[in-house]
Amino acid sequence: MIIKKETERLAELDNYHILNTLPEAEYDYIVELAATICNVPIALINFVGEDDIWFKAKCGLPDDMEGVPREISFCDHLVKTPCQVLQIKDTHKDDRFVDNPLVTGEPNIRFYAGSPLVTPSGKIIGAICVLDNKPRELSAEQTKALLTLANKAMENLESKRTILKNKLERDNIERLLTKVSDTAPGAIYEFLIKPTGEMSFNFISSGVSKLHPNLTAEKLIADSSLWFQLIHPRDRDRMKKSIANSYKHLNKWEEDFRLKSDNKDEIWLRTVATPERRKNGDVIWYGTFQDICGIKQFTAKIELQNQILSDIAWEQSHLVRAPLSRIMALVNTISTFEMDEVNKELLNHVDRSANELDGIIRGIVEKSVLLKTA
Amino acid sequence: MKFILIDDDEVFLDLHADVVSESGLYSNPLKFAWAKDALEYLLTDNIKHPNQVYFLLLDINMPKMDGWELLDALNLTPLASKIMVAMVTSSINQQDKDRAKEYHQVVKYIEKPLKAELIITWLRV
Repeated sequence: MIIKKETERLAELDNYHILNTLPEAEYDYIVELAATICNVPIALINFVGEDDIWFKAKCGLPDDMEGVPREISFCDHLVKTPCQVLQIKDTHKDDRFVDNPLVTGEPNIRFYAGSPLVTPSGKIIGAICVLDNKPRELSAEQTKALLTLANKAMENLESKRTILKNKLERDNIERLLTKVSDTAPGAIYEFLIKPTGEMSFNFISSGVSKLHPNLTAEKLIADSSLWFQLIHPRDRDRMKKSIANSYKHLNKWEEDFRLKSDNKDEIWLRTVATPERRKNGDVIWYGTFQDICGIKQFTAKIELQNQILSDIAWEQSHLVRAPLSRIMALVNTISTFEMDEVNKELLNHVDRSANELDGIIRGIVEKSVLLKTA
Repeated sequence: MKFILIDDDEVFLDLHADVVSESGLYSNPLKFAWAKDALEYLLTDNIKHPNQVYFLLLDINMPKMDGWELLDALNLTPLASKIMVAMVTSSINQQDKDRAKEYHQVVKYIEKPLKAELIITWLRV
């Protein structure tokens, strides 16, 4: 139970990212104020780590003294036995401290008063304390002041932690966004058109360099006209019209278009973007560019195959139907002849089979028409 | 009135001639296996008998000159107003059906085989 509590306390201390940080003026002021108010030579703000007490701010102690081992520390008593203010008026008269090396040797502590730094969740992570090398007793006002300064130190810590937490969250989101936008296939962009007609990419992810050999995010952000120069002349007017339309009506901008390229003839891209109008009249599109060369090639191949299949079905069905219609006509003629029941029955079979085949051919033609119009 | 059959398929020419003859409405239809021959005949006959009217049973798919080409050629002559045409074809092509509607002389579009009843109904009208 005790171990668990200590683990939680250390975890809480970690959240403040205070251990081994550089001196900060706001904590130095607090200790100087504490020493002055309590009329003592030494004051400290310290934090109780796993094995050591670490001084964040101090006055009246040598500069190279950065902390003390936890087992000889006074402040650790506040962690083990919490109270608002712990006061040792004379260490020589207190069994707990009389043999303490800080009492028997430098800095020869005779007097101690400390108030804990308590986190909002009730964990004691450190203390503010005042020390003297002669016995003394704090007045009620001094005790109250020490308590107030402890609260003030804690407030500082808390606001720093909030700022740090927000920054960490923001950094995390930023890192995530960068990662997502850099690894997304194609490119993610933010594009702006001002009422004056001026255009720019506020942002475009690095993936744009994979879409076209001459493009990089830096180049495009510096000069958006590069983009329009690269659009294939056959698509340029259509693209200009569609973005103007999207600017006017704020409808989704969705177009397939080609970029010119030295290596390949055409690079097919698809853009999908949602516009948003700002109060100042600027319109901003949040969208993507996607490489659809593969889709275009695949579609063209399928269309060609459909055409061939459709033609085959068409030609075959007509080639077959010509002789079939002849058979049907012959059956019609023969059926007008005089014949016995057996022959009539046989001719009926031929007639039914021919009609059945006719139905099949018509079915094939219908399907080939569907294939053409699909 | 003269009844003229035009079809590159000899079997159909004979069968359709029989159907027409047996309907009792017209006894000796003329038969042409080549559209060009039919065209020549019509042009010559029209000069001899300017008031003659012709019924054509016309196939679509034929080598050299098909049914459409024959109609287009006739439409450039005074015969344009002297013919009534039934397209008779083994094609079940919707495009052919649609095209038939563009010629005002085409009064009927028949998918082979031609039924005697059909031709009788048509001739009576």
